[in-house]
Amino acid sequence: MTSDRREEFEIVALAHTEALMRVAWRTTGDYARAEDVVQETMLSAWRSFQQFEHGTNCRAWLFKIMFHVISKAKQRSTQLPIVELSDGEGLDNLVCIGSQHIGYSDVLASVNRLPDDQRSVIVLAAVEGFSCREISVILTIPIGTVMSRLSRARAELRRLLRRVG
Amino acid sequence: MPAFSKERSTMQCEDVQFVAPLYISGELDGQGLADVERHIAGCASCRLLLHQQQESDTRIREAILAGDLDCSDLRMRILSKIRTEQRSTSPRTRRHSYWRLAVAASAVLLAFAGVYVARSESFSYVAACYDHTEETASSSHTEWKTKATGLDVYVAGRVGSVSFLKSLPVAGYQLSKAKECLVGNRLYVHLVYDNGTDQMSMYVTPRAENGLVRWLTARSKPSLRSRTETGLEVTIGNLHGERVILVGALSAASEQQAVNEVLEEIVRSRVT
Repeated sequence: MTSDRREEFEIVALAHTEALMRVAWRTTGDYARAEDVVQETMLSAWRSFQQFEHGTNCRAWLFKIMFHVISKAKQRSTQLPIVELSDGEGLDNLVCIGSQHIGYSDVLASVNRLPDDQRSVIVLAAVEGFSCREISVILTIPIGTVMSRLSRARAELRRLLRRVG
Repeated sequence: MPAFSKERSTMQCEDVQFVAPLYISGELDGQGLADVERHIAGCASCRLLLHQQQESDTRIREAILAGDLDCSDLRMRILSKIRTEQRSTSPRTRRHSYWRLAVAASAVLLAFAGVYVARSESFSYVAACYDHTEETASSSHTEWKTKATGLDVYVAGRVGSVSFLKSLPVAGYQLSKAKECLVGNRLYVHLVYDNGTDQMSMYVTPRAENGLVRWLTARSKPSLRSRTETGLEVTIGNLHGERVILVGALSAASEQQAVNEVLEEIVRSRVT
């Protein structure tokens, strides 16, 4: 019985480890800390997996747990360090914004420079494809707040990337 | 949903900017969507704004997804912790008694006569050790023969007789599953008994297989050797570049006695 439940958890929940890790890394700015967050998230999800309603959005459920974990971690440690992530920036990694050629590392550095609240919503929306309504559930904030943070994040990114270019 | 002007003629640029996140995420529909599309069809600045925002999202997505993210180790650590939690909370796995019984049975039975089946040389002690680890230490049983998959026939085919094994004189335990494991080029049969709460393992092996323990201990370059509170000796080492975990112990006298009784019964059965 428990083995079946674990196997189901592996299929339904653990499959989202990479997605959680991506967002946790961008949100905390630290890879090791992100691993801790994801591990705590998964263990927390495992402990309440019996309460998970099958057929509902497991991915959104996991992200909601994860942001709760991150929020608790922030309360414990008042400041999370923002670090420059050393992503590759060869010619192959160039992206084009308008007529400017900007490396992935510049894009990532700009994302890292966003305020925490804006960085979370933009990564959830742009990378993980969550809707505003889903993000409002995940972050436990009103949908109007999600929309305004998204708009500000996009405007700020545009501004930061223009300076890079 | 936030309010915004729904009058066709009154949708202004600021309205479009307000609902832009909903438009980009595809959450606008019906009249709201029609209003935005009507507006941007005639408004170049709003059209450009939405295009830039969508483009910005694409850049972020490409940049973040471009980095390799290998989470296999993390996933293994999570699974390991889950298994540990399962063992410590599940009523099926009273850990200490299970381990003590399993290892005691293993240690004693290894020294006694059992079943010998020749096999190819292609398997190594390392593989056997992994096999053992997977089957017992990690409790991740795979490919077991159970009652549903012809356990009696399976065991009888390997042990020669199943009757004495079924009548194992540990009160309440019944043979629930079995699996062949390899030790070097030899097979041993891993039998699991169940009393509805705990499980107990028995290993029926060729005689004098306790040499395996010496062999592994001598060659595995132990990096960690410790004794648990239940008397288990755990050795973690490295063998031919692969990590091995060896578990061995002497059990408490009472458990040893129980195992000896089992063995006596098995021996009597074989003699008769």
